[in-house]
Amino acid sequence: MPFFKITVKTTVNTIEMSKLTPWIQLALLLCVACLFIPGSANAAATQANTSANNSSQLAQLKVTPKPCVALHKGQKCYLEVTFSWQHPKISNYCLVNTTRNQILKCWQQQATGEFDFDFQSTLTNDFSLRKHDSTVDLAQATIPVAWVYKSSKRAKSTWRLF
Amino acid sequence: MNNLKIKKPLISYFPLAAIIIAGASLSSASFANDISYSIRSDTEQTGITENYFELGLVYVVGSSPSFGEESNWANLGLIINGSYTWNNFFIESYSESGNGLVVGYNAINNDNWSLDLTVTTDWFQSNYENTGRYPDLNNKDYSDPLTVGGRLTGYLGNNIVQFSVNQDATGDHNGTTVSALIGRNWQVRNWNFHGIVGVEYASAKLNDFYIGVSETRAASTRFDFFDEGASSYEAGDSVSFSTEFGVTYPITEDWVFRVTGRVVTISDEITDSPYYVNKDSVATSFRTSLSFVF
Repeated sequence: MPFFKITVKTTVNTIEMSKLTPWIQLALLLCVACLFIPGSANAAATQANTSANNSSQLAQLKVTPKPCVALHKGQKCYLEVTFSWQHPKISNYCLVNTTRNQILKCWQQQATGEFDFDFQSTLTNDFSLRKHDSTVDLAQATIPVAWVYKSSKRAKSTWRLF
Repeated sequence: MNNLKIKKPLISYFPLAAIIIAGASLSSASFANDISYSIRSDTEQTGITENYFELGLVYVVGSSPSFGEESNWANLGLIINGSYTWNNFFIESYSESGNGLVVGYNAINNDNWSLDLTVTTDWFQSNYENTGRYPDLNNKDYSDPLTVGGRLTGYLGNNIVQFSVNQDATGDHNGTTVSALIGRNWQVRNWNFHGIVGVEYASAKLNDFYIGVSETRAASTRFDFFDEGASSYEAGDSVSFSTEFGVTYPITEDWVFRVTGRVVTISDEITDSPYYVNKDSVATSFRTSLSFVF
């Protein structure tokens, strides 16, 4: 039984803003905003989800877009995603949410497949492509859940009086 | 004909400088890395959970009583929001609050209630459309009044109630404000809606400090621009009601989009001031903003 390890890579670019003056910081932020916002979905969608350690038998599982972003930590995050997979051999495969140990969909005698899924979770979830009745992961993908405000505590300062 | 123009700053300079300095220290790479790390690893880092800093731009259109005939206005402003907590002491600024920079101590905090003791130097001076009181109208040479107070916040399910009392502590005007509000959150997928209704009492001393007209002032050359001529005015107590509805959407893990609509009643005790030519009793505003969260 071949085993294909799929690696998810996420690149995070940080800027040492503290070394800059506040107004330069703001200018940089606005420039970044112009560049970043329109392309964020595509950038995430084209982010590499898969790789393989055997080029002769390449199994792939991709999910787009990602990540799922909620406002506060602890909130349920919603994201409509599409899983796409392929395997060199025709067989019976299943897409499994390994975080919840839940089968999302199975295909009979297929080598490729797509599945639209309404993701709803407070946590990052991992998914795998497996052969039917197998627990071996052929390919893996992740939907990370991110938050803008890391605190799940009361955001008292967001409540204004007058 | 009225040529008197009152600048309506969204933020005053002192809290801006202080928050930028505080923000520069908070916005270090280590803080950003902590956020990114938690996203990938889904771990919770304690100790920094209440700290954040954000910068943004806001565009506001509104209508309010004014010193000229025109009641409609528009502003492009800078948003500087942030909070930092250390051993129950906190410093916070929320540009839309009208409270400016607040330093405080969280005295009580249980499952449902939180009591903060607060000190601020610019209560009602970082105008958010608006109370009708303008800090630089009467008092060109004043120092920032130091205001002390408390706010009791109750978290009752999805509802939040907040009661607040603030008193001038430095004798600039000896004014007092008392306010109460109730708000609620709704999450519809990743859209976060909120609604707030509130009521505020402001003492006569506070109102008079900002929009009263002294005999000396009434006789000044500048004031004679008003058609009504020189007349003094002593403001009384006022009560205002407000309601707000808004939505916040996380565009990415760093960028937040907000839209807020707001309606505030302006008491006759405010608009009866001879400074006001347009004496509308209601102020409305519509804000849209984009912020980067560090």
